[in-house]
This record gives sequence, C-alpha cells and structure tokens, in this order.
Amino acid sequence: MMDVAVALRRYSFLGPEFLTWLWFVTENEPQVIEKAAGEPVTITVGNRIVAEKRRRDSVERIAIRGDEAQMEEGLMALKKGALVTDVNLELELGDSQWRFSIKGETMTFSAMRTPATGPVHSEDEIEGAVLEKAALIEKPLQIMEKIFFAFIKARMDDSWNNTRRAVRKWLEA
Amino acid sequence: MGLLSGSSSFTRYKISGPIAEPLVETVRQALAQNTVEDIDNKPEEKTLGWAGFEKAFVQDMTQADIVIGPYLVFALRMDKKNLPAKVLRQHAMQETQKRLAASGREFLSKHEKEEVKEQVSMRLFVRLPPVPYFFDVLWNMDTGIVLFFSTQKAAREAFESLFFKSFGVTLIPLYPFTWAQVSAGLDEDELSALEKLVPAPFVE
Repeated sequence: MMDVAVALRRYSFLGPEFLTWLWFVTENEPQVIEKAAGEPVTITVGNRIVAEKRRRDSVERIAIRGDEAQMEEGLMALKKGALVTDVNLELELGDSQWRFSIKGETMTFSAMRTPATGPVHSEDEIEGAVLEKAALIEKPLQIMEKIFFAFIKARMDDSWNNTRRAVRKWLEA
Repeated sequence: MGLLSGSSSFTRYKISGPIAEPLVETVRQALAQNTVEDIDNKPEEKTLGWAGFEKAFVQDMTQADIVIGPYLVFALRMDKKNLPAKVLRQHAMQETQKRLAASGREFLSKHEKEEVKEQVSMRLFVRLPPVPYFFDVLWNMDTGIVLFFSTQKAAREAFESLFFKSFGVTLIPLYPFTWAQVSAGLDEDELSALEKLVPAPFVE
C-alpha cells in the first residue's frame, strides 16, 4: 500500500475536484445526490467557500462568506481555473438538518452541527447521549461517503469528460 | 469541540489491521498501560496518554467505562506546560549575562545560546503546572472507523503515534485517495484506475 503522506501529496487534487463537482451537482443535478445517497437528501452550499488556484510556485486563494451575490465571486474564481478547497454545507434529510464544513485536501469535517439533542444532566444520561450523538454524526458521514464514492466511480469513467464539459458550461453561463 | 459538543470537528481513520481478541479487553489493557505520567515538578514539557471519556482523571478504566453500544469511547489526554516566550527570553537573557560576566567574554556562541535556552526552559518547566487538554475518540467496533475529535496537526500526529504504540496497528487517515482505496469496495481494475488518476481541470 502506498505511503499515506505520498498518497496525500500525489492525489491532493481529488478532494478539491470532488468539492467543485459537488457544488455543480447541488446547483444543477440534485438528483445525482439523491440517487447516490439512496435517500431523499438535499445538499446546499452554505455560507462559506474557499477556492484555490495552484500554480507551479504560488497559490491564489479566495475565501467567500455570505450571500448569493458573493457566491458569484466563487464562480468567477472557478471560471479562472480555481477549485473549491473548503466548503460549508447544509444537508437536509426529512425534518433533520446538519451543517458542516469539509476540507478537500484531508476530508476533515469541522464545525458539524447535528440536529439538536437533549441536554445531559447526570452521569447516567451520558450513555444515551453518546449513542444519540454518534448516530447523528455518522448519518451525514454515511451519506457523504456514498456521494464521494459515486464521484470516484464517475471520475474513473470514460464519460468524465462529458461531466467536465457540463461543469464548464455551468461556469460560463 | 468534542463528541457531545454543539459543534464538533474531527478526523476520520480506518484501523489498518486486526487487534487481538477479545477486542474490548485488549483495548482496555492498552489504554490502562498508556495513561498520562505525572510531570508535575519535573522538567518535561508535555506528556501524552489515554483517559476516560467524561472521566478524564480516572486512570484505571473498566470495560464498562469504555464501551457504549457498538462503540469504544475514550479520550487522548495531552498535558502541556505553556511557557510564555517573553518569560523564557527574560530568563535566558539573565542567564546569558551571568555566563558572560563569569567568563569575561562579550558573546556566547550559537551552541551556548541554545544550551542556555534549553537549561532555562527545563528549570522553568519544573515550576510550571501542566495544562490538560482532552480530545475525544469514538471507535466504531462494527466498521473499524475511528473518529478523533480534532483536526489540529499536532494533536492528530500525537494520536496516531500513541495509537500505534498502544495497539500495534496503524491508523489510515481517510483522505480522499485512501478513503476511496480502503472503503469504496473497488475491484482490482478499479484500484489500478484510481492510482492512475491525474488532475483533470474543469477549465483549461
């Protein structure tokens, strides 16, 4: 098996390509997400996007926070060849909603807010609270895993060039 | 930012190999053998060890302390003495003056300066109380996936190395490539295609 540090460096493009594709499908082909997840799940880009354009010896980075108008800036950056490296997402399934950020390079999840859980008043309640919280954390991870694996399969397929063309068309619209 | 916090951040890992059965008892013993050493009144700057979940200062964990449903739940404890840079600089300067006065020289060599800094740090560390930091660990025994509740590089590295020391198996961080490689159920041809992937920009 390839050394983890080597793999991280060599395939550092995979996470940002995934997040960029994810933004594209949330806006244009939400059914792809639902099909991959196997559940009526909705994912939308939240209030923060970081995009980077890497050159041989420099990185151009743009961080956008806020409303739709500012998200246009993110699209502009993608149009110039940047990829999404960090994004805040909202995931909805039934009445439940999660918010979290994903960092493309390492796929670390941060600032995850799960649906509300009851307060813990005593030591006796910890076991129940852990089980409830663990399930609420694992649920969006399972969904994101299915979506990521769908991306990986598509990325290795010959038809990936069609997807690239569709993304380019979206950016140029 | 732990497991029960309103907002949590974590890094995901897959355990790379089997751990001796019975798993829970193996883990309990390994945790007990690698708890935090007391560094109060000692020159050490930091120490690492395992601790109970929500029972941070319990050293002798029972199986009931670490098993909740299909999960093993515990914490990484990192005790660290925080020495302010200004304090170190001031004490190092005083020690340098003393040495210069004693030797009649005007300057210390680079090596001597480093030696002064190290000696002064150790002397100050003896007097400083360590501050404990805790990072929760949630280990799903059914899937072999471990969530470590931090994304900080130093904490992750400390966790990975103590995990290997304690359990004798490495943790594979689930970065995009490794995530696909170990969990996507790819066949040999697909794994080979995955390894051959190169960047394919959306915009030329």
